[in-house]
Amino acid sequence: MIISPSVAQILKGVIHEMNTSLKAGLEDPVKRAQIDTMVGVLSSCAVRTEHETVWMIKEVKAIRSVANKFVKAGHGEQALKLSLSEFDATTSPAEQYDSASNLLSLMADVGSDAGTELSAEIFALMELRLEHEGYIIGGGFEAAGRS
Amino acid sequence: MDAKTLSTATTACLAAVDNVYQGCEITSSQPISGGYSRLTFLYELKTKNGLEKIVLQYVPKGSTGLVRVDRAVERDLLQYLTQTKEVRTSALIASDVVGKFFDSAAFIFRAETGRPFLALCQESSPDGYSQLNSIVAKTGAALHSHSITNLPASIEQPASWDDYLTSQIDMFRQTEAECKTSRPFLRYVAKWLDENRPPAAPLSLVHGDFQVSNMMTQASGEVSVLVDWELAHIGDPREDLGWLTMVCNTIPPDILAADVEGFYRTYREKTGWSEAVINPLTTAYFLIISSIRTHMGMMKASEALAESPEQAQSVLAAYYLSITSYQHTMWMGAIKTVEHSKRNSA
Repeated sequence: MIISPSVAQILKGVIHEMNTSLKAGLEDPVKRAQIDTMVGVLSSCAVRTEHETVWMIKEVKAIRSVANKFVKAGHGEQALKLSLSEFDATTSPAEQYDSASNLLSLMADVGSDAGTELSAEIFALMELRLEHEGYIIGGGFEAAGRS
Repeated sequence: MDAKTLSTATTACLAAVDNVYQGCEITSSQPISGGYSRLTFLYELKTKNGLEKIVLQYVPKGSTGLVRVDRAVERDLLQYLTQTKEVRTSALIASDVVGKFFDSAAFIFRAETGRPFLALCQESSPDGYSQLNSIVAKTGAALHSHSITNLPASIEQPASWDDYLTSQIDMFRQTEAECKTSRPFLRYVAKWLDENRPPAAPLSLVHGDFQVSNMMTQASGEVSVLVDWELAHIGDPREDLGWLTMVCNTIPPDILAADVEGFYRTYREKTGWSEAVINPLTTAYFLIISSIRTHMGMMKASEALAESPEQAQSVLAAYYLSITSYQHTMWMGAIKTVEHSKRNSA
């Protein structure tokens, strides 16, 4: 399998062409906004393709660890235990990530009842996810056709 | 519909509402950049009375947009606002919500003579931001102070502020429940919103997309003309302040951040509402609430893309993923701001 250039590099090349030669010939503001939209999508894909699996594994491990603490503390016991066993039955990173997301949602439902320490741990997990999403959108977001 | 059939439908629709448009001709046409679900054109018309500029907003057939909109309700509101003096908007000349002239909904407005407010902001030096910021505050205050008593009956009126807020928080949970995989941000935020309800504000007409891109300048410089009312509803006025804050953060220059105190002072003076109700912290709370309608639409679009890529509006749906990530960032930022303030005042 040919892995050089990488998918991210190929996408970056396409983005460059769209932003330069293709966009330069267009006067129509609607069409220019459509190109901006496509460039935004491809830019996100370029970042995702490089790091997605690594990020998923990192989040999954962190969520699993906090979920154990929740169970030990007796919060959301039934549903969490069931979801943990479902989680343990998953195999692929994508399945594990979906299952871990469910665990995170169940812990989020407990809210401030979890106490200061565990609430802070949930907040930290949300921040970790946010950090990864932030990489994908390049630390910010530009509204296509609006700037 | 293509550009030619759109212009034919436009002249026919106009001729049906006013004799002055009988036999009118479109002499020039220019697409205008705007919303992602509607096509907008600026037309110059030759009528019996001379040249006139109009704006056509057309929703392409099959385009669902982010939020399902009842176009008959939108028409009722636009007709009402056209007659209202306190809230300034482009005058609605004609509409077609049943597909008599167009194959889908369309609205025809008198073109505004003013300039886009966003252009004014972009041309201004930072010294001028406070003055522009004050116009936005006055525009919002004029809208939100407007009595909702005489609004068209077709616009849904919540039973109470509490009921309304509960319904908005439920939308976070409902959106999450409709997704195939769990979305922790929605669940986390719903719980937080429930645990941190702010003081009530009077229910008011909410624009739903209150931002400088939807404002046009007026000669008086006092309040701006507001356009694009498709997301308007009766709700909490702070939704518009929250949405404004979020969009200002995205589309530079951020004239709101340039003078936050000035903005809130002007807004409070004009509405007569207290600082306990109108302040940056309650705005932070409603920044989250204000985005759930579009967030719900974006989630549905991304689910459809995952389900059947060839049938979904694929590029837009993929683009929405970046917006949802951005909204997550803004939500968590808002939560941090409120929590930080709570800790400091404890």
